[in-house]
Amino acid sequence: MIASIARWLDSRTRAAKFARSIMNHVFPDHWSFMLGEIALYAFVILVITGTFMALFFDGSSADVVYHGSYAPLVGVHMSSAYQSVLHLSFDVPAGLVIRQMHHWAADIFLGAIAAHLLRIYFTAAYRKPRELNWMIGLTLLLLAIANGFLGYSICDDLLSGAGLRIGYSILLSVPVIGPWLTFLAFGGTIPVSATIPRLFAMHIFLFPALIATLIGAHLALIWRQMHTNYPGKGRNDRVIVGSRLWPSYTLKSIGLFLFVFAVVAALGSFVQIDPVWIYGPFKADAILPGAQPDWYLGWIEGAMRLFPSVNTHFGKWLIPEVFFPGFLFPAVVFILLYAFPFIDKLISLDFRAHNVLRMPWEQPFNTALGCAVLAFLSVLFVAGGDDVIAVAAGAPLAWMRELLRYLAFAAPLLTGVVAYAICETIRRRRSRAIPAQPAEPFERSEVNVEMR
Amino acid sequence: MQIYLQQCAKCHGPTGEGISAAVTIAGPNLWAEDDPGRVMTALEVGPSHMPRFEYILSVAQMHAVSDYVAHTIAQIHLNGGDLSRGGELFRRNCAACHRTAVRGGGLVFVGTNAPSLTGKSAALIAGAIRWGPGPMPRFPPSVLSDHQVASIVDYIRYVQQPASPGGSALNWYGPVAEGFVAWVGVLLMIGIVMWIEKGGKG
Repeated sequence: MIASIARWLDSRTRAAKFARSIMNHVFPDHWSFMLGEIALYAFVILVITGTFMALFFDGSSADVVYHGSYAPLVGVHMSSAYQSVLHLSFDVPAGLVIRQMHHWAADIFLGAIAAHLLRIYFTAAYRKPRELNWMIGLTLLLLAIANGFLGYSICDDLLSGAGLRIGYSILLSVPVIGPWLTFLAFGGTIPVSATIPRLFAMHIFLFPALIATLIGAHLALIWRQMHTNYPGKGRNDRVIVGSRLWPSYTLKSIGLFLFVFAVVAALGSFVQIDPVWIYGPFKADAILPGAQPDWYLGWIEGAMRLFPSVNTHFGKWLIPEVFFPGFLFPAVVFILLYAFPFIDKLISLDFRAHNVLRMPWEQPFNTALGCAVLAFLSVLFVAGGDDVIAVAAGAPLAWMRELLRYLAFAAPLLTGVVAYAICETIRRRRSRAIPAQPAEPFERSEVNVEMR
Repeated sequence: MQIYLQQCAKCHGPTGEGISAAVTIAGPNLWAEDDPGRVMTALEVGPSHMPRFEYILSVAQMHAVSDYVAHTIAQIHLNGGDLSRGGELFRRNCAACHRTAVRGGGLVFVGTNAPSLTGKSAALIAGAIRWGPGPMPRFPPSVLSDHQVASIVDYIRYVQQPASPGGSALNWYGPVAEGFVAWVGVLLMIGIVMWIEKGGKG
């Protein structure tokens, strides 16, 4: 029956040969090559849960009076957007669990992207010919951060309002073009009624479409260029070893999707995230401490908390202090990341194409640099949550912040030096042991494919 | 009044304003103790660090003190608060330090953190609003009426144990705790991926 359908299809489309070549495509087996896939499946969950929520969310700032199930807000004036989030959370069947799954999936999406980025960096997978895909991946990270912030902002609760106000101030602080940028993104000086509809349209149309398109390009390039592989027996820049797309890789991948879904569903069911009803509606005259962005913006929040309060004057122009930690710093970080494949060429003086990865200890400088940056970012992440940590630990906040300012300089230096020393030690030990390097056993189907 | 000044004013102040910035430890403010029965009970039982006055004063004397506290010292009357209105007032006047989740907040320039309000009694909260212990500002009747104070107290008492569905609230620490949990989730999935790559064994 199935065979006859397949024959019927093949006699008309001549698809069998094409399909076979696709199914025989080889992917190398290593756990660290599946990190991006976790992100991919988190994105799938985001689209599914987001579509459900879009049926109930009202992206409007119209003033309404709440009459739902949450007693402490009954009779309170709020935006229609916030009211629809409360309605979704309390009065729509399964609304809350879907909303929480969406938010957890977003946090995990960004976490998986970050883990994936670290793997690429520490194994130098960005080298020729993959510089372009590295840049597409970075763009995906930027878009994901931006879209996460938009989703956090459109709930219009007091927390998201506080975040929006910070985002607005950062954009406004950009010299010369700041005011125009804010009018484009927010539709006026916030709070203004044009903001929520604008952010909503960007959150559900523009950014997801861009992300989906770039994921397609990202995967197509991996397909076209073949995947990289770790060094080992029978592996060189012209041979790839791994499992076929069908059946082994497909089944593995479906299994991973189910696991990602299970973890997100469990978090959505058992751990509360963004309880908007506790925060209350956004009002311009209210504010709260412990107001943090979601984790992926925590490093910028931390930079803004640690950066000294200095306004810079350029002739008659003022550059507000938020510009440096809030805009310039992340901009420099991303520009350096985009340029890194080319910076690496200058460090390693290696301009050839590579399909076999470079292990972290084979590039001590890059590894030390990466570890130092990670240490710096870790200090910033802690600083971003310093008031919450101060309350939880019962420590005075001002004292903690001073300490973190010193750590922001000391931690990267120390980490970098230690990482460099460790890499050098491993490299020396390995270079002595190279003649007797043990062959890695392969039990699965080996397929050698010539690189185009 | 004589007995109050002799026996109570040492800890609660001559006008019942309380003496300690840490209102939980000694001499809490009495401005919301408008129920003579409650004051009588406190005198008899001696809650927390307070001595038991049934050994020190006669019953008549204790009744006199209760009446004095409830009718002269007490200035705030906590009846008929409005929960939603209290929420609005709380977000406008209190949340900037204590957070909307009433679990306290870190303050940079004050030198001390705003305390959590969980487990605080209605009278204690109302007294603190009027009196302003430590660096906390005072909210006299010209700023917040008795009804508004009662509403705020209602709201705080509600959020101490809120109806908050959706699983563990992580003590309402907010995105910092959520981000931590998210990374636990990411690491769990990396563990799963490693397990898959090992062939699902062991």
